Amino acid sequence: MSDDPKRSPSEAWQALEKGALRDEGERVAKLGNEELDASLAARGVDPEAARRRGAELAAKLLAQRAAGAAQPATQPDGKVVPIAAARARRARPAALTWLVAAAAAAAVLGGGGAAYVALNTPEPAPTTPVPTVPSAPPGPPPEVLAKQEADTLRGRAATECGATHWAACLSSLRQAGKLDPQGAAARPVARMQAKAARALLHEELDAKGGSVEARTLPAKLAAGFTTALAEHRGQAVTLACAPGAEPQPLCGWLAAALTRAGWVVTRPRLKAPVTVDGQVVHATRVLVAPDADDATQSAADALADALEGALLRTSGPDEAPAGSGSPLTLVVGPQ
Amino acid sequence: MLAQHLERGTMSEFDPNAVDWGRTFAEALEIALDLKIRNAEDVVSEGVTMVIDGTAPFDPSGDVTLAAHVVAVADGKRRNQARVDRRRKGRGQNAKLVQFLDEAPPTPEELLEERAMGDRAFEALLAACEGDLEVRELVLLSRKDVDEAADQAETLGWKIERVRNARKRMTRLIAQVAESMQAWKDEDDP
Repeated sequence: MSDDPKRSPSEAWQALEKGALRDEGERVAKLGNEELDASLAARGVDPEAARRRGAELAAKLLAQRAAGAAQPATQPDGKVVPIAAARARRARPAALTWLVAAAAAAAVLGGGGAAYVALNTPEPAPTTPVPTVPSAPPGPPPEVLAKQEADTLRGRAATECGATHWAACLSSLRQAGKLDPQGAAARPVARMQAKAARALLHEELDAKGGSVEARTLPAKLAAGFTTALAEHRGQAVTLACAPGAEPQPLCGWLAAALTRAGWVVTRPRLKAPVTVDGQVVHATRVLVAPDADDATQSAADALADALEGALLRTSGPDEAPAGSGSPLTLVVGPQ
Repeated sequence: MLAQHLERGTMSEFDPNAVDWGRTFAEALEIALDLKIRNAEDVVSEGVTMVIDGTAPFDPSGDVTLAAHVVAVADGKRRNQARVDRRRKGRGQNAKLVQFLDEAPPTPEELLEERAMGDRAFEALLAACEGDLEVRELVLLSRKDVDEAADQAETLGWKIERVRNARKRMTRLIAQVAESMQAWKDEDDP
């Protein structure tokens, strides 16, 4: 054998670590239960409790795994209505209220005046106890356990999103999505997830200092924007644009692109920016009436996606109260 | 070894439902504690999770036990996470979003840093076994790609039991150095 080393010290170290782990595995595998427990106890570990925790963790994970492999349950009508979705909807903090509906209506009619939108104080989302994992059969089927866990996570996510803890909210939703993919596809849940992801992106952009250039809708992006929305041709939308030298040109481009997509655009002249809870709405925000039909709800989702696709910062779709006069509103605020 | 492989079966035969996870958890905990891995129980829990949820599937025909695999995958993840955390820390606040996206693989600079840390660990191990020449022989053999006990016995002309005993002592020293490595990283990244 040559005396020349074949491995660098670093590579040798890695091999040694791997060998040590393998040796340890073999050594421990040969220990009897009593020996193993005695060794753990000597290290200050309660072996019985450790085994129990391990068994419970595995039971929970295996239940989730089984649920992931199982077909999602549907209601007799074929529609899936996750509890979490309903809960998230109830807990949604963005139940928007038009504080001065008359002013808004006047604005829509061209009479001027500002439209004021208030954001209700978020109510804490109802939560359910974390489901316990059965240590022995019989117990709830794995898919039920997974669904319960997903529901709990989504309830928590609603609270986190309501408190603008976007990272935690997104994390909870993604965990829930793994447990209950069908529930993740439900509109309220998908919206909440998109909202959290956008908000995080915006935080990221803000941290980088943001853009100080006027927003534009270049031809290429406008074409994509139009194409994305053409599927919802005929959709009515109110374009509520803040006055000013910066928002107005953008509004003009958006109105033109929406019109090209076949949307019916109403563009009131506002004398002041739209405000939410006393705060001026910046960037863009999609508002949709909760009682709007499914086509409008889908259009609202598509609009929010298309705005992001056109590299325009947006939030929503958020709920606007019934009777606000417009099933679907796109608010364009100052930057 | 062949019999062991046959006994363990092939990868496709691994059935997590048939595993005594209480025992496996205890075994993995014993390994992690013996190797002086920080937050041993958290690491083991993470490893069990990764194996069962399919993130780190176990191959029963491989050369490590399930408990060792549990520790290995979670420890590997923890190290990778530490690298990612250091990277984020370097980037500051702007990296908040990145934790929800897949991190890029290590940069050349990070790989160099890891290599330097490995070199340092190897030298530290050599220093640690200065008083145990048998272990030192085994450590030096590792640079020549001789890792198996039988190969080491043949190369050194030792009886296999002598090699095994030396390997046990070497494992303890490796654990000590690995523990020190963590402290070095903490010092480098206060």
